[in-house]
Amino acid sequence: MSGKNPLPVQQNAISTILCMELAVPAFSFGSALLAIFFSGMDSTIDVRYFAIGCVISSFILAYLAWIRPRKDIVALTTPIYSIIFFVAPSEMTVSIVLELLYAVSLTILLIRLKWRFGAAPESGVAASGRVLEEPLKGYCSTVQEQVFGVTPGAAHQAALAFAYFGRGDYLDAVQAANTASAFPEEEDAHPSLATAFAIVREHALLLEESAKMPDPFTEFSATSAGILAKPLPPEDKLHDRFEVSLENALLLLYAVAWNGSERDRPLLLSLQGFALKLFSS
Amino acid sequence: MKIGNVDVKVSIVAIAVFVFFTLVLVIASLFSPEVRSNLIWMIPCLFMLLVIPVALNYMSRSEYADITPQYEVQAKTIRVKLINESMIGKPVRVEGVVERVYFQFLNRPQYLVADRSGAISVKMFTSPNEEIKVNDVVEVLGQVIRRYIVSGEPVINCVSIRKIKKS
Repeated sequence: MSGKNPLPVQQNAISTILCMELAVPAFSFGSALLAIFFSGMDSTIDVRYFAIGCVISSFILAYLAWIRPRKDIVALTTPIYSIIFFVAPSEMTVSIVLELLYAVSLTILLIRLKWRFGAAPESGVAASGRVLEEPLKGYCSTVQEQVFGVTPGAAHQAALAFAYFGRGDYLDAVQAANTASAFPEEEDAHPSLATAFAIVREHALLLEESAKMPDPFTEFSATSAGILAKPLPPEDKLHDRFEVSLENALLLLYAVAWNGSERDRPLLLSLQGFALKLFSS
Repeated sequence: MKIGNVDVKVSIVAIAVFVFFTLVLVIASLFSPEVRSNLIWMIPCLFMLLVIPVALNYMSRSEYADITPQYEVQAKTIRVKLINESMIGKPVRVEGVVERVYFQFLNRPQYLVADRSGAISVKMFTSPNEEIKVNDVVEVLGQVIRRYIVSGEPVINCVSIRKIKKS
């Protein structure tokens, strides 16, 4: 069973996004420079038409803002401003100065977008869920190498437990974890997976009852360290260990489900935003 | 101002608008006999500039007061990090520290509330029962929504925010 994604699709998406990012200053400054060039010649071309470059740049910038998980309302509204600024004809010199200032503004907004709103998703469309993104993809590959032979039934329950937990349906998550314990052969073959189910079950019950952290709580054994997505905090930081244990358990269930239950992949892809959030520190 | 059990608050913007148009009306009526002859309907209209925001605030606050008990029962106490897109529409309870407060003057405050696991925007579409300031430790009850209704990251549409202890 292959856990790999179509890499060329991702590379194409990245290069397309890079081209679009470069197109923002290229179109806006390019059109302004063309306007300056033609205004210096005795050309019959109305240089104000070159403002279309700024309008196109604005739409590209708005698209780049749209595909990000966090939306930048300023970048998203630039097409409206471009139309307001450039649709009404103005005096030629004013138009050229306006185009130059607008090109500078768009470039600043592009830098701000990349700086404050993160990189565009590899898939090119936010939360489209068509491909698995890093670091989740790498982690799923790691788990695939270390946890093999998980039955499709257990993998399906892992997918369900993750999905229910992510949606806040905690009693259903408990149910899925309980159903998974009906596969006793998994507990012997994959103790880390059994612990992950136990941790998710424990946290789901606590969240359902809005209860505080118990003492003691279920944790992965030291032998599971190699398979966990995140290193466990020191033993004196109990709250951190409690939370990281849950994150590791959920991510392990996600990876096991991804590798072992092909039919659940659309569901898992739709929830990868949550999984990626769990990866963040 | 208290109407029934509801403590109604008028935003500074609504008061500023009322004061501005009062001044305009006073000055206009001093210089124009035509304006003076129309004061009989202009003055009620002027007061509507205050009455309408008060009525809207009363309605929204009494509505929020009615639904808060339902949220008290249904909402699960959850860490910020566990809130995600697939929870849109779920009632949640979050406890954390207020890191930022925006738009308080509009009676539409927005808070950035953080707990050990992360921070989340908390939007309120009416004024809160008590004044919430930066560094207050609060309990937020609300529903997970998208920031721009159909898109954007998950935020909390706040039904109730209250201090749970002094910072």
